[in-house]
Amino acid sequence: MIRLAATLGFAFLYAPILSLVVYSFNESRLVTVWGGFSTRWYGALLADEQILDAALISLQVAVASATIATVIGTLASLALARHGRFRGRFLLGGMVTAPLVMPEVVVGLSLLLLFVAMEQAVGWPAGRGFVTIVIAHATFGAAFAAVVIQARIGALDRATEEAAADLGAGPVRVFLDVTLPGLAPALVSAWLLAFTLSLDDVVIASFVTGPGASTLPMVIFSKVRLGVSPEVNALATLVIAVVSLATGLAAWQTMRTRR
Amino acid sequence: MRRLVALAPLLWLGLFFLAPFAVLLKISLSEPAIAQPPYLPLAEWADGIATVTLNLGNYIFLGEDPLYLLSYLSSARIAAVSTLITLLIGYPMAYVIARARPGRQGVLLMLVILPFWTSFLLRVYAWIGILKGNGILNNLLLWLGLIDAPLVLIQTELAVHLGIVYTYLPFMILPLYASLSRLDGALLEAAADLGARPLTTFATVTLPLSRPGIVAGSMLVFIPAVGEYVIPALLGGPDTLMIGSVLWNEFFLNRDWPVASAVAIVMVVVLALPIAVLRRAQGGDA
Amino acid sequence: MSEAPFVRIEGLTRRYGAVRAVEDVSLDIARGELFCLLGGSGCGKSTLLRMLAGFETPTAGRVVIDGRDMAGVAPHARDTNMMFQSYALFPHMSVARNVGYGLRRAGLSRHDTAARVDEMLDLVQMAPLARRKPDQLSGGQRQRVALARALARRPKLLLLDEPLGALDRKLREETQLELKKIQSSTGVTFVVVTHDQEEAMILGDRLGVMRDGRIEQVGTPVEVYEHPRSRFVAGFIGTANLLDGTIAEDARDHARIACPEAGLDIHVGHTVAGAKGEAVCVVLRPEKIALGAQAEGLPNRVEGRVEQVVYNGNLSMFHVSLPSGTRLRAARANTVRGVDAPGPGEAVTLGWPGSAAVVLPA
Repeated sequence: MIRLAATLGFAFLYAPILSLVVYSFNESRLVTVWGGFSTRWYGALLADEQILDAALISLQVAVASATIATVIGTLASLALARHGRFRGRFLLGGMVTAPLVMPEVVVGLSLLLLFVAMEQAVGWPAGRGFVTIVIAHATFGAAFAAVVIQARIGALDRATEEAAADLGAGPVRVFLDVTLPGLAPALVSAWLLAFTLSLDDVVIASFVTGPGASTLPMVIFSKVRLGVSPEVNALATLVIAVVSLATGLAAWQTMRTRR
Repeated sequence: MRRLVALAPLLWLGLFFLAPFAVLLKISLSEPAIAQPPYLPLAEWADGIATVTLNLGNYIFLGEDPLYLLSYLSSARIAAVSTLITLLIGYPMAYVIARARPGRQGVLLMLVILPFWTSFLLRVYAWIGILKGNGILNNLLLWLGLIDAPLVLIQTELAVHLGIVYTYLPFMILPLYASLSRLDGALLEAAADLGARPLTTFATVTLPLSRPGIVAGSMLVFIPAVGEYVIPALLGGPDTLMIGSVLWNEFFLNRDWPVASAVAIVMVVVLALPIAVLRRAQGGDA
Repeated sequence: MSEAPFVRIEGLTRRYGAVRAVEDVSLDIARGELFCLLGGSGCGKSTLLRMLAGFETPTAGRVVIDGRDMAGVAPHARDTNMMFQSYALFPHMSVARNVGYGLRRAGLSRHDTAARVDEMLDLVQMAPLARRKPDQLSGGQRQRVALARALARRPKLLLLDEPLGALDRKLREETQLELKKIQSSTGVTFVVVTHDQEEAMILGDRLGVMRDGRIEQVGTPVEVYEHPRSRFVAGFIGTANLLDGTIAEDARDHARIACPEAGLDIHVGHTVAGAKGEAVCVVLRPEKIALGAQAEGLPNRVEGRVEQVVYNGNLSMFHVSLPSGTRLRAARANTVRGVDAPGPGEAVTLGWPGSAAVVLPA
């Protein structure tokens, strides 16, 4: 009984994704009416300059913001996990968790208002676009990165750091030789998580962007608001293929190292 | 060096997360104007005297126009119903995963998380193709002979529920799995040994012990669902009132920044309670 | 000993708020000694060890190692090394790299490090597994690697936190002897923290028994066992019968302790500290109490009834209740197989010589 319910649950998770893939190979423009197998929408996708430009911007934003997010998330996690009580601990703890649950519309609006106010006051950031999207994504990405990294720091054996100090390593060496390698898997997951969240965001980017900087989700959003588009199906299929491939590789890698 | 570790994130998050709320609050108290930016400054220097005008007009406006109150209530209702459905679908899934062999647990969890790594926007978009008038579901039902004419599925509240449940299901399953997998199997055996039938065991042992997961999962679905914009925009109809869309429209269509700010501030205040519940369920400190 | 103590601990105190983890501990440890810190959990023994390593800063007092005051010296700058309870092996490094880690930090060349690593791995018989990662080793193998890593830098002082705690009983017994052998062959001064009194007796040249942050008694295993200086030490180390009494007579070569609990005046073959009528506590080790025929002719004899016999293989422990209700435990070595022993419910005579009892202030 319960297994059946769970199976249906998994079917519910994957049926829509499957439908995207199937209909991306549909000849007909009317997406859901089957008109025969075709790859013409992939061709159309690769010829769509608007989508390609947006994809490039999105990738650049995601790489930059995920990197900043991972650095900030790591520092925040280290401070929270290792520094005991310090002034600002409570504040930092709150600021690291709050973005996780703050509605996107609120985060987007408030950041935009800040950017406008800052530009008025100090002249930076001049206008909005790439930089402001990166800052916005890095900020909420840092909160998610911190969650992943904090979990890992909690699981690290502190005695290994003490052992390194005991064997003559100074604080920086301890961090490089023991803490960082111990955190490495979490840093990778944190970066990937922040990267994915950045690639996925449409609401916050819509608020903080300016002319000329449209991310891929923003372009897709404006296209699909007008109805289904076979090009978007093709794009979705490519995304799914990349994600599945990456996950498969990661799983294979873990299995291999475990042997 | 040690200082810097805490200082850098404090500064970044202080500037780009906390300070925006101060600006948001400030602008929610200013007067709208046809200007660039479209609001009047709060403090003014005139004849060497600073005058601060706090304008509660935006908040009063929110109270007077029933649209806002209705939107808040409707958002809360849609989010609550969707959360309940997500819980009902997510619980059996989390239970089966937690009871699976250790090797399979990883695979099943991966299957839950995998859709999350693909684009949220594209997954919501998939439902348009399924639900629309000549979409997959209607075609299927017609072909099966269950209906004679296509049902109106898209641009309804039902579609919004579906979209929320579908999008946030992993957020429900993961905390549920975390509490269920911590449940010691010996406890279930002990209950059975003491004469409890499976259903009684579930109601008296499993369910109470998985409560932290239920609370955390429900809040993780409910809170973002209240402020959701993309899902109602793509799947909802003109009569689907959600506060996220109201805020979006105030800002992008009406260009009324002060009112949009006031809507946001009220949303944060309203969500403070479920956020506090979530923090307690997750064990405070972090 | 004419030379100054190798490790001198003076009035060492560590408080966490109102909690006194270590309180006013003073202790001297000689060069080349194997010193055991023994105590129950939370007695402060690990905190004391961590202050020697430099991981905890003393609230008061000081530590001098080989003439150098260690105040303000960071862990990585100390000539001490520690073997951690969890072993704390670096999971991402091979056995050889773990052992060589401290040597590289000390500035040894790759070549010299490799030679010293080989030497250390030979010492702990781990050379064949040098390329393994810690998670590919058994508990006993990890323990050896941790020891080799801590010894590799030739520390002046090796600190071992429950070094054998994670091993099963059989392996622990073998390793205890090996650890002692390695200690004497390397000549390094060891301070071992343990909660296991048997292990402390086997390992230690001297032991320090700790309780509530203080040192209760310091001495050789024989001193601590045969002449405990407090009720706590008597009860903590080995098994002891503790009887309350008062001094009835104190002569130059003997004393009598009135002990209504046991129903007799206990004859003690030496003089005791304290005035007549003063309350005292008499410590009687079970193996010093003879049973039945063997009790004949001894100066202290009581009649009792066997309640329970616990057979332990090498010896049997008889729980005997006296007419007063007090229970005494007496041990008999099972040297002869099939010898007739009193069973539960049977009357039995217990006896002990004048040398058996230790008299402590109550």
